[in-house]
Amino acid sequence: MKNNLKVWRAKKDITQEQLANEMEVTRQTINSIERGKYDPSIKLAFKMARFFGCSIEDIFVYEE
Amino acid sequence: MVIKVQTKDKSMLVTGFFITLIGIGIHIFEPGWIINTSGTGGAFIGAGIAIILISIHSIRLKNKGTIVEDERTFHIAERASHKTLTILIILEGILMAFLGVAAFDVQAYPVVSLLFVITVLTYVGFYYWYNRQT
Repeated sequence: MKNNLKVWRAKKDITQEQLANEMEVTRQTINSIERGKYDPSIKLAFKMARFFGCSIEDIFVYEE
Repeated sequence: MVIKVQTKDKSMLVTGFFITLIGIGIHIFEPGWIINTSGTGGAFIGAGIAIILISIHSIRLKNKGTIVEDERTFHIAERASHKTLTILIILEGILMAFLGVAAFDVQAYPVVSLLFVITVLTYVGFYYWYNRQT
């Protein structure tokens, strides 16, 4: 699954650490998601979408 | 300053305390069914104190607001546990089959110790591996 998390984070001008604190996860998790190494749970994806004020599909792109 | 302690950390602290108490009890009462009371007592005390220290460290980190575990760490632990269990089932199956047919009189302690070491090393190894991959 691809994602634009880094772009959304840059738009909001926040660090990985700040986003991690907002999402109640570790900074390593945010880093892994941005590098495409870890796919977040649906709960975390919703939380991120709410935080950035967009839909899940705006951040995450599912490719078969 | 208010120190928040989660139920999980409370149970860890209580467990550590009880294990330490058992160790002290073994040292003091020296039960006859234990071959090496000082070694066993020391191991219990060491394990108990280690659990208490780990719990205190975890409580301090959580009170500072540091997130120590999340869905990714659980995911890694899940994968490492699954792989460890698979390897252990295979190993124990082979060992059971071997001991069933071989004419060896194997001591229980070294075998259990070896299985313990293999379990810990396999889990830690897989956790490290998946942590790097994920």
